Amino acid sequence: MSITVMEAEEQEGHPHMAMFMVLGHLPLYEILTMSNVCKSLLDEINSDVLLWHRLIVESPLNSRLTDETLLKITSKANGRLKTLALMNCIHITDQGLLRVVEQNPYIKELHIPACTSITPEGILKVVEALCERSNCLTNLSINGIYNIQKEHYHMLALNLRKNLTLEYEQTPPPFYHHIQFEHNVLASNLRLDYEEKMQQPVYYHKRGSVSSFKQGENRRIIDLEICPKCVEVRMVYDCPKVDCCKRKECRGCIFCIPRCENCGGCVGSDEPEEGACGDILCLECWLQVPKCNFCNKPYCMQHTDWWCTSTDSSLLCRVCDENSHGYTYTDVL
Amino acid sequence: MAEEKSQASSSKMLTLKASDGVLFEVELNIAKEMKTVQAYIDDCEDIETIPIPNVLGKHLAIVIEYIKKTNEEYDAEFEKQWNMDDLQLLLLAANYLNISGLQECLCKAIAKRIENKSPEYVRKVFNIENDHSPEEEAKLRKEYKWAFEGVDKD
Repeated sequence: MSITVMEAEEQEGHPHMAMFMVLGHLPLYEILTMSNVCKSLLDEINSDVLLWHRLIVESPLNSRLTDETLLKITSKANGRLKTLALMNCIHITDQGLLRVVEQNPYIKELHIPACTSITPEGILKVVEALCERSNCLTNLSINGIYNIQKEHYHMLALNLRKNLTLEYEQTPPPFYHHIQFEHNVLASNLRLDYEEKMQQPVYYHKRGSVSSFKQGENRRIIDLEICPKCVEVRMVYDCPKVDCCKRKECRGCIFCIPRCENCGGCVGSDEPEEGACGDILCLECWLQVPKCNFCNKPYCMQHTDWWCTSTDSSLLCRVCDENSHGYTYTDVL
Repeated sequence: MAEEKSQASSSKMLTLKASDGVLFEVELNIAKEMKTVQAYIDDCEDIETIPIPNVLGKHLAIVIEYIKKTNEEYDAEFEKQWNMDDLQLLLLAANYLNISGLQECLCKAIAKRIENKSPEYVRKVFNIENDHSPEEEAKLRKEYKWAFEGVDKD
């Protein structure tokens, strides 16, 4: 059997060419790890400018990243940063973010969910700066930022809609021809509504977490919406249930329409079933999943690794497991 | 999407020859997912057997299977079956054959396996030697001190 060039290289302890290809898919922490691994990887990381056009900061760096270190890292993009994903980066402030944006005015995707030191006013400043020219910011994620009010949302929508013109010119719905768009907040909201309706639905059980960035997803322009029920700025979910009687209107934030953790379906006013993890399941899902032998509560899909097994190999939830060992709070006293 | 591929009108068969001589007969529309092969066909129309010199038979088989079956569910389970060496060789194959969907899938899979791991772990898994000089290592440690402070063992 002939040996390929790649196999020969591998035998010498050199990094496989495949590693270079993977670099572009790594969040920052793993890129820094790779630069520690060996010389050729470090060289590749330092010389590949395109690599730094996309920056993804997740755990464990999310709690360690400061304004200063963020600026230092983003400077490697030489002003051409295109995607910036700061997932739950709690120390990044309005000023820190603005400085990055001033140095990198061509950012197309900005994801800053749960960056709790950033304020709505800070986001507005940043989005205004990025939307000064056309064909600029196309995606914004701000779920988990505190105190976002309707006024902020409308201003953001106004700024971002400048980009929508191009797309609508290609497939405009007939009734839009007669609507004035300038400074018409309602129209901009309608436009975003239209855009959202044309896009993929958003399901509660697929919402993922604010601490990890899912690359290459078909995203909305802004992740948040104005809930049709309570009119607050929230994540609004669609209903995946085929037999949901009010399917098209079954859209709302999680406070207005409670949803099943497993299937994302609406959980009606008939009692929602609570799992041992505290999450809610609809009756159908509740019937199908395994339950604790003692309290008869299930775990939702996200917490199936919380199951304990008792001495007779039956399933126990964590609470019942602790209780069965005779360990209670009063024992500690 | 997987069903469309097998029901496509084109029933012409093509032979692909892996680097170790193993032959694979595939339908034209499957072969066309490999842009490299597509280019080959465009250049020489009447070709029946196409040599794939950089890819072993066992990996070419996996690649062809992927093209036939790919969908969200399949992709999620696909990467779990292979060890790190196979993943890398598959990625090189996907790159050579120019199949973007498979490349993405494999890159994400490898990235997931080194998530939150130390440089020592990466070296061990990929069989890479540490050729940094002590000065370089010290420099890197200092520059990225903020990132690696208080890190737990793997």
